[in-house]
Amino acid sequence: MNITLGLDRADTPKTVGTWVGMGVSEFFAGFVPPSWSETFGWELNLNRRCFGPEWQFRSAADLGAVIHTIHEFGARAFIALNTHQYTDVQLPLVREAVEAVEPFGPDAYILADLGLIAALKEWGIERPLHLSTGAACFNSETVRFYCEQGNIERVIFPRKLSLAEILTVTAELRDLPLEYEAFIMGGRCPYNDELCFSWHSGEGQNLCARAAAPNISTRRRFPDDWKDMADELIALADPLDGFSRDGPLDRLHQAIDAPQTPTVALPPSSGDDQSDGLALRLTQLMMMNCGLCAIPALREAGIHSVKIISRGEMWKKVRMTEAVKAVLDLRKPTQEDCQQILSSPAFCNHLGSCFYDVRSPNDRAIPPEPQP
Amino acid sequence: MELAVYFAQIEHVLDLEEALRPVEIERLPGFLWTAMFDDMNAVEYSTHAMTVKWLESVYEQGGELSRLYFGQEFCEHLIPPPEDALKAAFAARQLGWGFTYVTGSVTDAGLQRTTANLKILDQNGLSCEVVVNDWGVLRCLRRQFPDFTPTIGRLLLRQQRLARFSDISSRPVNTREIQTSESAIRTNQRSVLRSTNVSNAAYRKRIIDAGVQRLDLDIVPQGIDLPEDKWGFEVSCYYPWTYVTGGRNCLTAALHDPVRQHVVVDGPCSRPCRQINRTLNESTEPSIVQRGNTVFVVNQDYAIPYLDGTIPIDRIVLEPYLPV
Repeated sequence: MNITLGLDRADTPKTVGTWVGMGVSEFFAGFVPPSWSETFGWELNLNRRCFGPEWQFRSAADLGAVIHTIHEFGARAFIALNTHQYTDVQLPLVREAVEAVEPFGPDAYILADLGLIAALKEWGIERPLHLSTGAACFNSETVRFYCEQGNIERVIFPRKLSLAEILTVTAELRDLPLEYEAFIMGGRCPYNDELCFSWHSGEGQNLCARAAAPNISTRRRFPDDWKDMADELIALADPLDGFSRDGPLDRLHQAIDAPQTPTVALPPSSGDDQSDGLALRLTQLMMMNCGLCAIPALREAGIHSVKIISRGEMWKKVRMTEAVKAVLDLRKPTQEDCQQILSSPAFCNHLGSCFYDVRSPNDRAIPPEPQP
Repeated sequence: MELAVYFAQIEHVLDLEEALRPVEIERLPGFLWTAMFDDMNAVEYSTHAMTVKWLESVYEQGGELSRLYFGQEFCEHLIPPPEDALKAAFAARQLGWGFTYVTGSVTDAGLQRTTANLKILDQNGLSCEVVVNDWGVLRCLRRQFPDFTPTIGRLLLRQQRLARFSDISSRPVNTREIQTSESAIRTNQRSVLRSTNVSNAAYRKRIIDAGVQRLDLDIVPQGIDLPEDKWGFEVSCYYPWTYVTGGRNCLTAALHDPVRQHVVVDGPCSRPCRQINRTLNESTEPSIVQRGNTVFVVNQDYAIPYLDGTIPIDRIVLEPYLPV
């Protein structure tokens, strides 16, 4: 199993050598030339990193030198063009960027837009294509559909597939000569990347950041006769009678305010509880989300590469890469092995840390029957 | 303009009269209105009242409902059973309406349930329009159910929903290492955000070759530069709820299994969203409401150009309730 690591403009031919020495054999990067950023800014980017210049290569020559070094080491280089969609206004500059990179021979383009697959064919670009998580390959038929559209070499699975669902897709597609990649370290996103049409920006707070620190209201849904209650309130001779005991408003609130306690006891560390202090917080900052314990299952599913997604955050990438490599070097890593390598029991006990649900079926909550 | 109504729950289809019964909540004194609706979870119901009132005004101008949308776009745990799909299709037939079956983004397991529903419709001679939000569903449709007509759904039409430059979200543009003025960047961004990848001719050819005849858009604050020929498609839009984002992890399902807030869990969901709603408890303009795993926004005045014909759509898909 390979490690795929994101490069950013802090990376150079020299750091590529360091990464290869640490066990990385595949790299991906974004390229945003000034012609693009001066036209569309960072918010509407050539790839899914919309935060600013630190995440991107800005010069084709710099990127070319890095690709050359990657190839010298026998490793592979992929270029991310995985914005959800490109409009006709953008396509000329997309083409310009692709034609600037093409002479350096990247090993594949990472795409999410069926329209770009079609456009690349029209432009005579025949390089292998990797389906980004943004391509939403949640099922095997979707992969087959894309394979009918272009030269697909690899599927990068969405973050929000279970291990069993990944195994199902790879098993269904045994007849196709595909490679598979899964996320292993970095941000897991509160929502589905591929189905999220909100904003990412280097300026201001994003919707998902608000969702990650939720101020949540929990209520039962309105009862079926809520319109009757409203009609009763409208018909009152004295509106103050609306607050009478057992009146329509009282009945409504009795219905919607009924307590909803979780049916499963929360473990000591859960949700946004930070009571473990720095022991938890430091590892959260460093690793964000972690899928190390899932590596045996990902191997079983035929995953070729695991992805570390901290482009633009050099300080995180070193520790992440060390941890992933240490687990990959074990023939049969156990959860205990992974936890020892991470060395943060508070992080591993925290509900929100994992990329995948690695509990055995016996440890999962038994869902109560839906009420009528 | 064709007018369709969309329900995700069969109970609403089977009691259509109640589901579309007007309720004049604007006649409530302010303090009673507040006591009834002053919570983000109640926005669905106050919006429902306004939506039905809007429908009444359409009736008064001679408009009428002529199509039923039914199905599940956002959560495969909520895909209706085949018998419900059949009931909905027959209900539409009895009303003399067209029928559109709505599908979502699905795993292989969800795809099986989706094809089971298409199969029972097919076996009963109820070939219909199908909203496709997953390329795998489109492939199945073309191969197994060629008599059904695919419509590209709003999960595959990825126009940005909460656009930053609009009046309601005027956040600053990130100008690091950019010489161009912020206003020029905004203008360029606006031209992109008012379009979709359907403007790409090579892409259009692919989806036309796949049999697609209609696009189902969400209404967005920035609007859309829809050409007069609508790129050769028929075009609908959903009203008043616009999809913004969603996840296969779910705040509401986490009430019964806390892990589900964060990751995907195998096995059935207890579907607490059928009784309970959990949403961001922040008053925003426009209102953002979460139902189950999905986040919606309520359209405001920016919907008017879609509804009054300024933007040349030919169908409005009315959502009296959140379609989850």
